[in-house]
Amino acid sequence: MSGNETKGAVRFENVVKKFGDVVALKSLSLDIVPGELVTLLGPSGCGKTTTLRLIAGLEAVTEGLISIGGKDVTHLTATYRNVSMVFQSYALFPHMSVRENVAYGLTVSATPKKEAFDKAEEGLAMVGLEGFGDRLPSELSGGQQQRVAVARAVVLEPEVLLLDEPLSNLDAKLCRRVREEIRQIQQSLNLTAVYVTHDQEEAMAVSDRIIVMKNAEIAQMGTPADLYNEPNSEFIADFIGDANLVKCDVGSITSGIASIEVGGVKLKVPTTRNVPFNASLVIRPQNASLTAPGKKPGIRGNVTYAAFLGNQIQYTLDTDIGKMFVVDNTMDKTFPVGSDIHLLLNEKKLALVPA
Amino acid sequence: MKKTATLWQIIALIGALFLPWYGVNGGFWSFGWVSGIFSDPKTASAVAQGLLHDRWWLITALIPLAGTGLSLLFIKDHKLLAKLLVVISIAGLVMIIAQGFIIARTAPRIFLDLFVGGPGETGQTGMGAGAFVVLFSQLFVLTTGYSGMGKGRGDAFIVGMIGLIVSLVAVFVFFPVSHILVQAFQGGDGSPSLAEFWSRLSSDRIWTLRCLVGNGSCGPAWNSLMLAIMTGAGTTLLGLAFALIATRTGFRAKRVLRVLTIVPIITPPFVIGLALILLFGRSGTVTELLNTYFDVPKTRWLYGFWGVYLAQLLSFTPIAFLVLIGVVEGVSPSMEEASQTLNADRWQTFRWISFPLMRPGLANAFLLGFIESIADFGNPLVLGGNFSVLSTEIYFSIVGAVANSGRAATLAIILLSMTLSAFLIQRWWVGKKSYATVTGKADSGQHTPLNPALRNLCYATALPWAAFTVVVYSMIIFGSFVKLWGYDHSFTLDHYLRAFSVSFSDGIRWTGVAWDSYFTTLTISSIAAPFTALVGLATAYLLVRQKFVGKEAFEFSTMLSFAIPGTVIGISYILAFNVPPIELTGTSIILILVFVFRNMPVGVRGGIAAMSQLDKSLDEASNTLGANSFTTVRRVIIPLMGPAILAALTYSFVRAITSVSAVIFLVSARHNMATSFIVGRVENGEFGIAIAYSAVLIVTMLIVILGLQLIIGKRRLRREDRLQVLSKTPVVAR
Ligand SMILES: Nc1ncnc2c1ncn2[C@@H]1O[C@H](COP(=O)(O)OP(=O)(O)OP(=O)(O)O)[C@@H](O)[C@H]1O
Ligand SMILES: [Mg+2]
Repeated sequence: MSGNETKGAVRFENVVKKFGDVVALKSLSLDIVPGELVTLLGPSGCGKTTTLRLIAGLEAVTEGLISIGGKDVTHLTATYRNVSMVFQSYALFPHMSVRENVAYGLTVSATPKKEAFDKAEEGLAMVGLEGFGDRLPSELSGGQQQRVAVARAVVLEPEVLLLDEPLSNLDAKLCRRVREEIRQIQQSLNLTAVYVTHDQEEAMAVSDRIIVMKNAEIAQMGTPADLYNEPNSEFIADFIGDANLVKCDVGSITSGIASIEVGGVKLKVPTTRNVPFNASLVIRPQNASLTAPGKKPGIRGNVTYAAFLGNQIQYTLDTDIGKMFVVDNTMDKTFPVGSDIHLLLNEKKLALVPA
Repeated sequence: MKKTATLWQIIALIGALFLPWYGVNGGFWSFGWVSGIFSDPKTASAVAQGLLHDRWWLITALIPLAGTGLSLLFIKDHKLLAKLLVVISIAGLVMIIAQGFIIARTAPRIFLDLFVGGPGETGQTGMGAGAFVVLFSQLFVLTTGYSGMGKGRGDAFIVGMIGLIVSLVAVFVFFPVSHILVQAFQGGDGSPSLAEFWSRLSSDRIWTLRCLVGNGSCGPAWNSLMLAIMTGAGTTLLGLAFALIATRTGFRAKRVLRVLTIVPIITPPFVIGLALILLFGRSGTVTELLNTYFDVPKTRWLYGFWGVYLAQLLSFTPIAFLVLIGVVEGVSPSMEEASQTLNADRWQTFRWISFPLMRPGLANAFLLGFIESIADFGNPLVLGGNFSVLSTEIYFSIVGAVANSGRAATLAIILLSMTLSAFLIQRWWVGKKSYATVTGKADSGQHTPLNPALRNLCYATALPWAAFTVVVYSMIIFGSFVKLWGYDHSFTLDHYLRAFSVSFSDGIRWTGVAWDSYFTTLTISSIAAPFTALVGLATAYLLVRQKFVGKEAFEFSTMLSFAIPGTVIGISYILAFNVPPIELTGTSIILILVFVFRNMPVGVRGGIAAMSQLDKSLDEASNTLGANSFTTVRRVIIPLMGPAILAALTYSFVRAITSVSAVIFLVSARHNMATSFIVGRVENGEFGIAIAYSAVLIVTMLIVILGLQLIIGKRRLRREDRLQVLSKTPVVAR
């Protein structure tokens, strides 16, 4: 048997999944550490659901190996894997009461009914639904159904909990509350969880790590901060948070600092590479500020649109380096539409990605 | 895997040791064989036959069985064991089947000729309980081993189910139908002859077009084809009119309309023909009236194309209606509303949105009408006159003065190619869309009412037709109570008494002439119905929910038996199951089998429709919660499929009671069916009793349907709230 430290670890080794001619995953390798919540994020059709279903055992791999808890499960079906899943549609059994639903996984594995129902009650309490056991799923609100689905999945104490866009049927406020609850339950039970979403804010909010996928491949993985601060491609920079991307020439790189020039301004930007390359400069909207022309050397520009939002002002600018989107949180001074300005960049917060 | 395989292995051993290998004379359930299970050469088990009664080949055929047993005992390595089980049990199946064909009691059998060169000296009769138990358990050892090899995702239940259904379809659809091919190619001396086949096939009698040029009648091939096309088109149009009225108008008597369309479905096919004779025959009511008041000469116009066509329209319009109402309702109101918000008027909406969406359904309805018509046997038999169609020709080739099974087989091939072509054309034209049926997604919104011109057109076609149906059915009731139709219209109960009298003199005695066939029919239909539903729904489950290699072919072959006309199935069953190794003619089993495999596609269709309404994530949720597929089926699918199961039961029950074409060849003195009994009366001109019997059958079926409907009705109430849940979720279409 596997030791405790591997319980809940998920490992993909060069997993390929094809549906007929459609390649849904090309050679995916990943490692999920026990107890962490990993989010699969990416545009529609990039293979998130497929990855999740492969972990669940609902799809068979075309090539490659999958192991869970250090054990090779490549050829086991969902029934025989110790994972459970929360479906986007909840998939509550409409003909069973809430209690029967939650107890289902226990009763099919021959747990005595009494014990199963007790555990189900505990599970319901955990998601704040004590006393709802006798209702039919159709007699619950969407958010409640969602929590029943979570309870049903966690009472089995699975090694891995899988969630496929669990919040997509809920409104924005509820969404926020439920995702915090899910995160809490996951942490208190120390479950490994894999979470699929296409909402990057949701991903940043709940995850220990995010795996961004694109075209059936992993584009980048890391903590939310890593992805935000050190994107490895234009795609990631753009996908995680807002970013202005500007083509630039890299002059030289010395000890992790690249000297570049954009719009006639010389900048020193941190980079992990050590040879000059074709780069794009990633400028987050809050990492640029506006000044009146003339004072400091900046990139010349003109305000084409300004929106006052109370806690910030959003500017759209026409500059020497192209159209820019800038957010001013300090609100020291407002620039009306039409004013000429200079744009100053906060060097330390900039990042370079290959163009 | 090992546990399951061992279980089947034990069952196989029991079959080989303690069950009679051959069919037993008194029937298995009489248990007369128990005392002679070792000693009597007629009822001994396989092992006893081999050791004590000189049937050494049975021992040879059972060696692989010992092989799998030994492997299960001694091989510890999982992978190796799985492989051994597969290989050895295949060998076992092949050997058992081969010995059945090679060593037969009677000539001529293809295999017999090949291997033995004459009737086997030692000989054997048809296989019995022991043989079937051994065969099926070997099959399951095979599928269990196969899934143990990691095939089919290692799911023994699913692989077993696929194996079972494939073998059943192979044995009870493909095997018999292949006999038709063999028979058609058989020359006079029994040897295969292409020339003989060709001369039969191209016979002028089948293909003549004399009805178009010059006078005379056309060949049955053209007649059948023309009739089927016209019936298909006619029923589709009428059905569409009814469906539009039922869904898109404020027509008040919709319920009456529904009943009117259900009744013909439970009517034995030729009954409508009879009623038409009573109305329009030479001494029919209408004919007499027209003759008296308008001097219209009495003619025999009814006996021929028009009579058959009219009867078929009456019989099959309801089927089209049932298909089309689903289709018409399935067109989502939101699409129509969208179209209207885009400024389309009602006609444009119908023309450009609703109609194209219904097109696959229309094609489906046409196909049904076409196949029903071409396979129809009862109406042409009663009304055909000189207008001969393939299905009746086949019958007369078998039962006529000179039985000519070669000709019958050839005609069957022509018939089969017509239905299959229609089937293929439809599939090709509609593609996969045909299964994208109503999703069960609760759509709010209103169906667009028809525009007035279209509505009036619908009324004008459908309502007179409905009235006509009412008249026809009143005739049936009326006819059963009068002495002699057309001559003596005085009230009598004679017909009912002759058919269904009971004498209480010494205990209850069922003295009526019809009781025998009535009880047989009910028994056989109620045995066949659950099996039909089971096989049909199991197949639907595999098709909708499971992925496996060869699924397309699997789907096609299960649908195939739908396209095989009843007469063809009837003949092929006689040809195939009249001789060992499977000897079933004259038993009730063959009747049950023919119903199960003929009506199975209905169950499959119903099952597919119902199953696609269940969100697939329900199964998947159950699986990820640790339930295996068997538990999932038992605890999630079946409870949610209740209505579909009952519908399949009802429908197969009704179809079993009303079918004639396949049955007419297969009944025997001991197991006569109601329909063939009635046909017999009709051929004797005893219309009164035939009609009385039909009326009783209709009432019986109505009672059964209403009974089942009560249960279905209850289920529906609970379904309401269920649908709401499902409707929140996008329903995963296949
Ligand atoms: N059963 C299937 N048959 C064929 N192709 C499939 C199947 N399931 C998924 N695909 C294809 O595989 C690719 C990945 O699909 P997947 O469902 O994993 O996307 P996703 O990342 O979950 O997208 P979304 O955010 O839209 O849910 C898509 O191109 C999809 O069309
Ligand atoms: Mg998805």
